[in-house]
Formats: sequence, C-alpha cells, structure tokens
Amino acid sequence: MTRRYHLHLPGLLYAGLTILVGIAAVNRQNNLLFWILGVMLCALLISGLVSGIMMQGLRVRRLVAGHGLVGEPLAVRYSVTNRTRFMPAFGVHIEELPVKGPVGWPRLMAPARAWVMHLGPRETVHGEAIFWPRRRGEVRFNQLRIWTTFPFGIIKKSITIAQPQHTLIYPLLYELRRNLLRAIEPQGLAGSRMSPRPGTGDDYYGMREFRPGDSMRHIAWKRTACLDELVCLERTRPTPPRVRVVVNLATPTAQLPVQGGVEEARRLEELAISLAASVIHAADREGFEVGLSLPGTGRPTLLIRRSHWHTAKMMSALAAVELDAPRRETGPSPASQGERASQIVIHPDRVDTSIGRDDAWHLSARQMSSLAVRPIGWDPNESLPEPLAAESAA
Amino acid sequence: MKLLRSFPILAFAVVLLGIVGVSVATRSLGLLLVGGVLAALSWYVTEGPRGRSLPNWTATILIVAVCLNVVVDLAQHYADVMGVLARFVVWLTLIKLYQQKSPRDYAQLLGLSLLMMMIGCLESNGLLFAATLLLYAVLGLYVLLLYQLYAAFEHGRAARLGALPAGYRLVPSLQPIVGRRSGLHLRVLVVAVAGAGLLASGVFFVLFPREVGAGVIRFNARQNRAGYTDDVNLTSGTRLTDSRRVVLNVRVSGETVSPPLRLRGAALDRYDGRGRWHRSTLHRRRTFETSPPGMTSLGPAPGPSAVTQEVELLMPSTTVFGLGVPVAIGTKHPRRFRFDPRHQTIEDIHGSRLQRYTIVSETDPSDSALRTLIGSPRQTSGAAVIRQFANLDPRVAHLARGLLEAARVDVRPPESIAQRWARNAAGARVLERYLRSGRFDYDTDLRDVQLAGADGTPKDPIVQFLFETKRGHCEYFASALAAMCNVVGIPARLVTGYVALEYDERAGVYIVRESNAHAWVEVQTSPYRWATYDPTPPATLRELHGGRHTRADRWRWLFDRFEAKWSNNFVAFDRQVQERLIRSLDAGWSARAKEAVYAIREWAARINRAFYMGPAGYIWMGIVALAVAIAAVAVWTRMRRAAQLRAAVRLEHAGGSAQHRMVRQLGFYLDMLRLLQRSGQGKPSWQPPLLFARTLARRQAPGASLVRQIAELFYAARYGGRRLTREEIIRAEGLVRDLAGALGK
Repeated sequence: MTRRYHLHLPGLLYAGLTILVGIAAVNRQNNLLFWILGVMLCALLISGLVSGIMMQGLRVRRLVAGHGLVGEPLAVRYSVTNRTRFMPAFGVHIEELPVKGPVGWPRLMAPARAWVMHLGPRETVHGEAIFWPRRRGEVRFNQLRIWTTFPFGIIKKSITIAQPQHTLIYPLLYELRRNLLRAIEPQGLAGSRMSPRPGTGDDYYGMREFRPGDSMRHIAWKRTACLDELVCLERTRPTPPRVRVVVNLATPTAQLPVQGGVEEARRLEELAISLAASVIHAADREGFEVGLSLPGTGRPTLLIRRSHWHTAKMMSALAAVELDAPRRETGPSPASQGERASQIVIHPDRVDTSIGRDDAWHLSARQMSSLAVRPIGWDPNESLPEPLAAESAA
Repeated sequence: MKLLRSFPILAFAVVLLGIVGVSVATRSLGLLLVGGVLAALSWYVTEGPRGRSLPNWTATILIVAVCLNVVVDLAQHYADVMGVLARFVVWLTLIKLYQQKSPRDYAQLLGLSLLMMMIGCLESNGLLFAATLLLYAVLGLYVLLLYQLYAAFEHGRAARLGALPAGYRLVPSLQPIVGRRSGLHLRVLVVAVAGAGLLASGVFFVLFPREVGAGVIRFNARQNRAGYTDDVNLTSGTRLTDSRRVVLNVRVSGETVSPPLRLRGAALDRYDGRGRWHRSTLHRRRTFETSPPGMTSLGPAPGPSAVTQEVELLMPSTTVFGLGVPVAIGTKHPRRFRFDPRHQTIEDIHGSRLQRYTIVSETDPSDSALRTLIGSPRQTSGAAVIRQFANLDPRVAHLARGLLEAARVDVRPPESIAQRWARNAAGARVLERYLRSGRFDYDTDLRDVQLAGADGTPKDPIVQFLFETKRGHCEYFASALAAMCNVVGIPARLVTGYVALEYDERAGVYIVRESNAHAWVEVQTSPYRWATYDPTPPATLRELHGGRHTRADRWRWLFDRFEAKWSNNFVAFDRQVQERLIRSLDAGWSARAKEAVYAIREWAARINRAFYMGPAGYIWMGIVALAVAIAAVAVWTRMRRAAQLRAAVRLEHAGGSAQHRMVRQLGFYLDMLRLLQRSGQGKPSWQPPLLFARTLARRQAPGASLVRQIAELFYAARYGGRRLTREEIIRAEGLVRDLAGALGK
C-alpha cells in the first residue's frame, strides 16, 4: 500500500493565487488580505489533513466477475470499507493502474473508474466500474488506486494497493443464420437419437424390479399383475446431437497466404475464433453436445459434453488462445478421429481439408458475413465508442 | 442525491454574494442594483419553468463585447484599475449565469465569485464587506465541498455515457453511491473544517510578520478621490466622491466650540505655479516623545480657550488632526511625534499606526503662548509665500486690487506694522466675500476641464478657475483666495483637514467622514497669528458636510460604532499591537511554566526530605524518572505492536492464553508484512499468506521462497496450534532479515 500526495493543476492554480494574495497582503498591509491569506494557507493544510485522515481508514477489495464478453460491459465491483470511527469519506475514486505486458488490461479495454460519493464511518459500500472489452483474452489486474481530491480539490491524495487478479474476456459472439445450424446438425449416430441405455426418453428399453423411490407412473401394471410383484418400465436415454468444433490455428499468422499482410491475417484468425465461439454458443443453445480442438495452440482437446461448466471451459480455452505464441505441430487428434460426432473445422483463411475428418464441415472466417446475422452485443470493430475510437486511432 | 440537487442553488447564492461583496467594497450602488437584479433574474430565466439559457454563440459575442468595453473603460478610468476590473468580472459573471451550466461552468462561476471577493479585499476592509466576506467564506466552503462531489458525479456520468456504444441502453446511468446520513456527515465536516480553518487562520493572522515589504508595488492613484491629503494638486482634473467612510471620531471637552469644527491637518505654503501646493519642510521642526499616562506639553500652558479633543482614528493616518493651535498631546503608549512650529501641525513618526490620542489646542491662543510655541517670528514670516506668486498671471493681481480698491482697502501694504495686520484681515475678508458671492459654482466633478490651451501650453488652474471655468471644489476656492491674497501682499496659506458637523448625541462624538475633507485659507494677521478664512460658500459647506439627523442616521451611527470597533481591533492590527499581544501571551505562558517548574522542584525536595537522601537524592530521583520514562515508552511500543499484530493476524476470537502466546511468537510475521508493504508488494488482507507467497512466486518477485517459508512457520503457530520452539523463532527472524536483504530494505 503506497500513499501519495499529488499536486495537480487546480492545486497549482490555487498555489499561484495564494502567492498573489500574499504579495498583495504584504504590499498593502491589508489585514483582510492577511486573513484571506491565512484562510487560503489553512485550506491547503486542512485539505491535505482531511483527505489524509479520510483515506487512512479506507480498505478496498476488487470483486471481479469470472469472465466478460467482447461487446458486453464488464462490471468490476469494489467493496470499499471505511474503518475509521468518526471520519466519513467523500468523493472516493477507484481506478485500475495499467499493467504492462501482453496480459495487462489496457490491451483489451479502455480505462474506467468507480466513484463512491459518501461512505460513513464503519460502513461498507460497493462501487462499480464499467469496462468495455474490445478484444478477447486474459485480463490481468494488478494494482488499484483509490484517490480523492476532497475537500477542496487542491491536493490529490492517493493510495495504491496491490491486488493481483485476473479474468477472461470471451470472444465476440455472432448470431448465426438458422440454416447454418440446421446444416451442421449431425445425422445418424452422431445426431439426435435414443441411446440404448436407460434414461428418461420415450422409447421402451426394458423392465426391472421396483425400487423404493420409483414413480407410480413407471410401474408396468400388467406385468406386475402377471408376476405378482412390482415391476417398473424403463425407457431409453435421449442422446443429443454431438458436434466437435476444430479451429485451425496450426499455421502461424505470418505464413497465412493473406493479401492484407499480417494484420489482415490476425484479423481473420480472431474472426475464426469468434466464429468458433459463436458456433459453440449456438450449438449449446440448441442442446448439442459440443467439443473443441485447437490444433496449433498446444491446448488439450476438450471432450464432447454438454453443461454450463463445459461451455465456459470451451469459451475460456478460446479466450485464452495466444496468437502471438509460437504454434505447435499437432498430429491428428485421437479424440476426433474415431469420435461419434460431426466435425466443424473453422479456418482463418482458405480451407485446408487435411485438418479434420473427411466428412467434416469446413468453414472459413472469410464467410462470416454470410454465416452470421449480426454480433451479439456491441461490435468493437464496427462502431467504437468515442473514447475507445480515439484510443484505437492513437 | 438530495445533496447534489442542492448544489446549483447554493452555487448561485455564492455568486450572488460575490456580486454583493464587490459592490459593497467598491461602494457602487449601480453595480449592486444592476448586477444583483440581473443575477437574480438569471435564476428564473435559466432554472425557472421554461428554463432557457443563452446560446453559446450569443454568450461568446457578449464576452467579446465586454472585453472590448473593458479596454475602453480602462482607457477612460486608467487610474481606477480595480473599479474597472470589478465591473468587468461582474459582467462576465452575469453572462455565465445566463448560460447553460456544466460542472466546468460552475467552477468558472465560483472562480469569478472568488475573484470578485479578492477585488473587494483590495478595495475595502470595511465592516460591511468583512461581514459579507465571512458569510461568503462559510457558504463558499460548503459549496466548494459540494462542488467536488457534483463535478465528480457529473464527470463520471458523462464518462459512462460517453463510453456507451451508440444505441446501447442496457447499462444504467451512474447513481451516486451514498452511505447513511451523508448530509449530516457533510454538514458536520463543514462545521469542523470551518472552525479549524477560522482558528488556524486567526493564529496565522496574529503571528504573520507585519510591515515587511510594504509598498513594494505601487499603483497609480485613483482618479476618484475622497478624503484628506497633505498636498493639493489642482492639475489632475479629479472627481471628488462622496465617500461616507468614517475617518475619525472626535470627543470635544473644555471650551465650548460651535460647529463646524475645523480640524487642521496640514498647512501648505509652497505653490509651484502649476497648480500644486506643498508643505515647506526646510525649516526646523521639533521631535518629541509622549510620556503616558499624562499629557506632553509642547511649551505653553493651556489657556482659557483650551479645548481637549479625544480623537479616535478609524483609518490610518500619520497626521494629527486638531482644532486651532496644539499645546499638548497624550497617547496611551509612548509615541514619537514631530511638531512643526511654522505651521502649528503635528505629525506622527512612530512607524506603527496611530489609533487614539488626546490633543489640547487653543482656539484663540494668547500672543505669549504663541511666542513660546513658535519661538522666533521669522518662523512664521509670510514673505516667502508672497514671493511665489510674483509670476502669476497679472489678471489675478488686477482683479484682487480692483476688489480691494472697491472695498476701500489699501492695496499697498501700509508702513505701520499694526495697520498692515489690520489691512491683511480686511483684505482677506473682501476677497473671501467675492469668492462666496455666487459668481463661482461649487462642483466636485472637474474631469472635463481642459488643463492645457489650444497650443498645448499648460494653464494655471487658479487662473482658469477665476477667469474661465468659474467652478471648482473647496481646493479651488481656497487656492484662489490664497493666490489673490498673496499677489496683493497678504500672506496666505492653504490648510487641509476636516470639517466636522455631524454630531452623534448618543455617543457624544463628532463623526468625521472622508467626505468631510476640506481646504481653507489662513491669513497672517499678526507676527505669530494666522486667521482662518473660508471662501467656500457657507451654504454649500453646510449642505456638503452637515450631519443629517434622520432616523436612518441613528442606525448608521450605530453601525459606525461597530465599524469603529472593527477598525480598531482588526483593521488597525499592526506590528505594535502584534508585539504587545505576543508579549502578553508569552508572559502568561512563561509565568505558568515557572509555576510548574517551581511545583516540581518543591515536590522533589519534599520526597528528598522524606527519604533522607541528601544531595545525592536528586541524582537518584533523576535516574528513577529516566528509567520510568524509558519503561513507559517501551511498554507503549510493545502494546502498540501487540495491537497491530492482533489486527493483522485477526486474533480477536482466539482464547486469552493462545492470544498471548501468539502475540509473543508471531512478531516475525508482522515484520514480514511491513517489509512487503514498504517494498510496494503489500499482502492484500483477503489473501492467505501461502497463496500470496505463490502469487509472488508466479510474479517471480524477489524473496518469494522466503515469504513461503515464513508463512509456513506462521501457519504452524497460528492454525497448527503448535508452540514454536526458540530455534524456530530465531530461524523465522533470520528469514525476515534475509527477506529485507532481498527486497533491498
């Protein structure tokens, strides 16, 4: 925790004005001016003292969500506690200090600030800063600064607190066209069917003895009457369609045969990741079981499952893909070769059929305009808000 | 939110107070009326039911117009810089008041109001302005605190809305996060800050060194002039303002004096021929010091016509004002004065401000008394004065001679001395009557008078007054009489001072205001005696200087008394008063300190006697006292450390014995936390020590492994329920030392 006093522009102006009043008072020996000078100097002193005491008792805890989403606001909450017994706190600003390096939050979003107007003695309130992530990736927060210029705006008093924390920003999601979802919906064994295992489906699977807790509705009354013991009817288990999404990132960005150079290639790679995330999102909503492979990134293949946690895991994997890292050679994935699931391979640029199975669907990021209707939320690539646009231009 | 909603109206009140303050300080009723009414209207116009504000382009045009106006105004009133500045700032404020107001505009408005009060401070230190200033300071403080919150809120809201993508409406606008009883807390804070500020500024006011660097920067004199001056300049084309500021109060006792009281200030007997009168200073003057509590005599004993005047000066002046010829003076503290026997005037040369004095003067002194006071008759010879007018325009001499001849007064000085003095008196009376006859108009605004001819040659203002303009104020009338007297050989000099006509029956004092400043003429009517002649028409004099005994005047006199107290206790606070005050405070503290030392000594002696320790007993007592002090400091330090450790390790819920044990053993953990804090890698309170050590290791911070080892030992003692051995504690302390080395602390 580092405490500091900063003299900013209003403070300098105030100091200048005080000097002028001092000169006038000394020159004219005007007692009213002497008193004003005294008031101004005391205000300087009191300003430092009040803000110092006020800040001394403040404790802040960052409450950051597990993940954010490009195009959606990321609310970072701060729990602010005033531990002093008598001194209230006013006008407390909380901001994140920039973290240098590839995982620092300034790389992904513009700065935002939380503000607490009043905090009584021994009270806790929650402030909120709204960030607008413009890129996917891992966001790392390290130090946060709480500061105030209260009471007079002359001196800025700040406390810097180290609180390392991180979160993930998921890729930008697009709303896909309905026919795409219908097209990728697998048929046959990989499609929607009733698996030969007991479950809660509609088809008949078999009979078994009654177990305490079984519903009355499941009792096969005719068979029970014949056997003179309670027998229950078992149904088959419904199996949702299974899809594996493969994002082809095996080719390094610089080696992609793209006309626009590395920047365009990188944009297409990001678009491919977004497309993959959108497919996963849409498939999850349609009730598919989804798996993910990221050849070239060195990340393990994720099995085909369906749960909220699993979807989050896949999104996290996509969010954490580091395109600047060296690509790793990956052979054919054992999980994807004999797997009972349809396969969708997403390429940044041209389709490379050597990746994925023979019956795999191949999509390219270049097709995004025909595959997607619109982005879900705000698209940072299209209409940047004013501060972000300025920063992006810079 | 309620707090923030009250900000605009309070800010408006502060700005209005600023306009009132600057108007009061510059004594400008027009500014007060126009500025105040327009400002009050602005609230209805901008915040009223229709809520219209001035478009930016109109405001810009108006500001440009005001800026141009200030240039013109400054060219016209270049000497009245503060007045021009005050008007300029008021107009700017009015324009800003009619504009739509963002936090920045509010800041500018508050800044302008502060500027207005600063100008007011430079212009006035009167009670009314001071009361306005005090009100402004308290209200301004509250508004300033509110402004911090208001501006931050508005800025935050604008930033959040600005960051919102177009068409995105899901994020709610910023609502202020407020704890319980915010209004009460703010008000209490304002009271506390205001109290502390007033107290501290009072101490500063008392202790700040006075009379250092005074008058380093000089401004041009104002074109508007009010009050007494010890020289007369007829060439500046001034306008005399009717300033009602009280200069002094006079309580008269002794011989009954009928009003008007002519309080002599300076006698001017040098005329430079270009409209300027000065005092001659080459003759011998006498310096003396008063010896309180009695009166200090200037030579002669007070005669039957002696009048005692108790004068209370409310504005700084080095001139001692008194009726007639001074014979004795008394002050509360010893002071140095200079007596001018030629002019019979006294000047204060003490250095600090003269506030109160008692002067005894003779309205009709005897010749012997005058001889004692003045010494040689050459001191008061009028020949030198007459010689200065030898080159005056012959028309003046022609006019004066004509008047004297018409009145059958000898134009040439008679041979006989006695006849000469009688002729001086008669001639002066004739010329005085001529000037009072109504041929000349009394006018205080002479700014339109051209002081040079068509060819650019300067004109003598006296000649111009007598033959061209025929209008002027008391200085012109008096100068004309003095000039006309001198050109016909009647020694006459100009006297400046005050005429007191306003009498406060309740307080029993004459109230003298700046507007009571006056100039008249003294003509030599004997070797030592100079008689008073006033050419200003008496009706005009009564009208200008007469006290108006209305019901409002009584209230004004009451206010004047408060202002007198204010002036004496605040405005007149100077180095001398400061030194006296500090000395008296110091004396009080010294006495108390001496008493305390004496009591301690007595107490020590009693103990020494009780234990029969002899002279060495004091040494032993000293050693014991030192040991007790060291022990107290050690106990205090230990208790503080234990409290810090309890807070850091959260031992509140641990049992008594366990708590004591951990406080004794876990000091190393507190040292580690402090080291990390100092190095900028403080452990967050929510993070367990081992997890923090892992974070440090991930960050590859220096000393991460040491932190982990210390944390493990800490865990063993804190949560493992294990008592650390002596060796383990020594090891932990060694680890902390290593950590300090690794962190470079």
